[in-house]
Amino acid sequence: MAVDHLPSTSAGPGSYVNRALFLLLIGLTVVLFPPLAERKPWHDSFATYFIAIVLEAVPYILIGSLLAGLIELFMPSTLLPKLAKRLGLFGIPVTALVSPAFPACECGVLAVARGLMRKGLPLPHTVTYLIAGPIMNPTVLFTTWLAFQDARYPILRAVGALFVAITVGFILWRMDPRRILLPKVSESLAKGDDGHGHDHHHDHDHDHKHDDTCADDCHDHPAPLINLGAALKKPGAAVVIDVTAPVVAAKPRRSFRQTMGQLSANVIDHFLEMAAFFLMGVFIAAAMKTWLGSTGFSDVAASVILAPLAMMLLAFILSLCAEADAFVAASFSEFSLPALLAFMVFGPMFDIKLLLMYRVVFRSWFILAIAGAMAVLVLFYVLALVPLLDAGLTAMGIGRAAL
Amino acid sequence: MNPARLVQSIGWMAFLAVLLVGGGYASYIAAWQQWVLITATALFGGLVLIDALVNRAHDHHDHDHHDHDHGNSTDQWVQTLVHLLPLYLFLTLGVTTLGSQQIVDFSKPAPMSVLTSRHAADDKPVAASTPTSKPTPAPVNTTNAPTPAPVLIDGPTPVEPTAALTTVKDPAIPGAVPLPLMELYFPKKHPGVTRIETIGRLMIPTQEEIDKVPPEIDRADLKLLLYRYVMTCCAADAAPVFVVLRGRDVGELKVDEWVTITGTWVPAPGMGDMAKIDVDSLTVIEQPAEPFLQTPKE
Repeated sequence: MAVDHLPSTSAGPGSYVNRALFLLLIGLTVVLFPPLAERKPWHDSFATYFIAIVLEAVPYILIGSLLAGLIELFMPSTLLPKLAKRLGLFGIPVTALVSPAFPACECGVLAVARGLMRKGLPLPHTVTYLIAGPIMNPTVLFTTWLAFQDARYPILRAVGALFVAITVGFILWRMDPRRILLPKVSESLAKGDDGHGHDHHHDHDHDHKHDDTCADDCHDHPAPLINLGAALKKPGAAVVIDVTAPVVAAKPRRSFRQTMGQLSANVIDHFLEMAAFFLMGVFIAAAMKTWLGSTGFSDVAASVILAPLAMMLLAFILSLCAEADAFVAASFSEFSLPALLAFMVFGPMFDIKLLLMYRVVFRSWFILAIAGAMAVLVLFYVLALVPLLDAGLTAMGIGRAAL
Repeated sequence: MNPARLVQSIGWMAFLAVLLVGGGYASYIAAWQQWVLITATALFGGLVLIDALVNRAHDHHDHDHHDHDHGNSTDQWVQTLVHLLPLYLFLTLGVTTLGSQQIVDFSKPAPMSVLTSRHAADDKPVAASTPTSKPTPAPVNTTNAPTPAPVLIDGPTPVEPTAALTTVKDPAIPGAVPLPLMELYFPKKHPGVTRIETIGRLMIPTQEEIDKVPPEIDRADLKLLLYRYVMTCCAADAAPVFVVLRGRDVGELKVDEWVTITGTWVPAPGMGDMAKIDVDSLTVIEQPAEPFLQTPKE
C-alpha cells in the first residue's frame, strides 16, 4: 500500500525564500543559545515564551490536522462543492455561521481549512472559515466572557469576526484562486490528485492493480476529484461543477489497515508541514515578547484611532492563543471597549505565527493584502459599528454578568 | 516513512516526552491544558507508530520512479533542523521561567483580569475594613501550635518551601496560614487571617526605576516587593502579581531570589492598591516545581 502525501511547500518558486528563512532561524538559534554558554535572564524569558507557546499550541495544531485528515478521508467528495453551488453568494455567511461546526483555534484552523479546500470548498468560503473559525469557537467566546464577566465582549467579538470574515469572503468572490494560492497548492488541486502532487497514473511500471479488487498492495487512487478542481473555480464565475456527473471510476474500498495508514500519513504530513512555519512564527513572537513586550502601548490608550491600531499591533506581536487573549486584553484596563475588541478580533485572524503558517498555502502578496484588508475592516468595525452595537446591547440590558 | 520525516517525528516525540516525563511541562502551561497536551502526545505517538508500521512495507518513497516531490532533500533536512529547535532549546536551557526582566510596571498590584478572576468573583478586592455580611470567625490558625504543613488553598503551586540553598533565614513564626500570593488580594475569602506565609520572588527596584513611578503612589513602599507570575493558559500570557514587603532591609537579598515570607498581612485598602506584608521571617528557597500561579478556568 502506498499513501498519498501532501504536496510540499518547500518546492517551487518560494522554496528559496523559505529555505533562507529556515536557515536564518537555525543560525540565530545556535548563535543566541550556544550550548554551555553563560545563562542570561533573557535566555530564560525567551525560552519560557517559546516553549510555552509551542506546548500550548501543538495539541491544537495536531487536533486540526486530525480533523483535516478525517475530512479528507471520510467527507463525501461532492458534498462541499454541491452545497457551495446551491448556496451561491449566500454560502459565504453560511460558512462563517457554521464555522463552530469545525471548532479549531487559530493554530489548528489552517489544517482544517486545507482539508476542507481539498474536499472542494471554494477558496472564498475557505478563507471565510479561516478568519471566522477561531473566534466563533465556543470555547473562545466562553473564555472571553470569563475574562470580562460582561456579555457584550463575546457578542461584539463574534459579530466582529463574522463581519470581517464575510466581507473578506465577498471580496474574494470573483478573484482567481490561482493568483492567491501557492503554485504548488494550485497545481495539486487542479490535477485532482488529492494533493499527491504527481502524475502517478501509469508512468511507472511496477505491477499494481487499479481495479476494485486491489488489496493491500495497491495504490490508494482517490475518487474522481472533480471537487478539488472546484476549489479552484471562481465562485462568481460560471461554476461548472456537475455534481450529477457520473463517477469516472469507482473509489476503491479501503481496508481498515489502509484507512489507518492513510489517516496517519495525512495527519503527520499536515502537522509537520505547518509545524515548521509555526516554529518560525513562535520564534519571532518570543523574541518580540522578550525585548518589546507591551512597553509603550499604554501611552496611546486615550487616542480613539491610535488605541485600536496599537492594540492590533500588540495582538500581532504577542501571538496569543485565542482562548487566552481575552485575559490579556482584560489586563489593559486603561483601553476602551473598541480598542480591546480590536485586539481580540484581529489577533486570532493575523499574528506573527499565523503570518508564517499562511505561507504554507498562500502567496506572499495575498498574505499582506489580506492582513491589510482585515486591519482596515477591524478598525472600521470597532470605530463605526461597535459604538452603535454597544448602545443597542446596553439598551437591551446586556452587560456585565448578563449571560 | 522517509528518513527526514521520521527524524522530524522523533524530534517532536522526544521533546514532548522529555517535558512530560520530566514534569517540566507544568512550568509552561496551565493545569487544564496539561491533559490536552498529554492526550495530543499520545495521539501523535500512536499516529507515528501506525504510520511506521502500516506504511512501512509499501513506502511511498521506497520507489524512485515517481516524479512528485515533497521538497528536495536539502529542504527536507533544513526543515528537519527547524523541527528539532524546541528540543535543542530545552536541552540547552532546561526548565525556565520568567523573572523580573519582563516586568514593566511594578507600581500596580496586578492586572485587573487577575484581580477580577472568576474564582474571586464574589470577593473583589475591597477595603480591609469593609464589613462583611457574615460574622467573622475566629482566626483559623493563629495559635502557638506547631506550624502546619503548608498547603496552598488554591493553585497547583506547592507551598512546601524547598529548604535547600537557604542563605537568609529568620526565626520561623508559628501559626502563619499558607496563602498563594494572589490570594492576598481577596481578604473576604480568608476572614480573620492576619499572619500568613507565602512564596514568591523578590523585586528590588533601582532608585531610577522608583523615580519613574507616578507621584501619587507611595514610593517608599516600593523598595522591596514580592512577586509571582500568574498564568491563564500558558506562560506566554502570564502577568506578575505584587505585594509590598515592609520591615525588612534589602541587605544582601538579590533580585529574583525565591523566598518564603511569613508575616502580618495588610490587605489592600482598595482596588488598584497594593497589599502589604509586615515581614517577620524571610527564607531563601529553591525555585518551586511549579513557579507559576494559575487563574482557575471554570
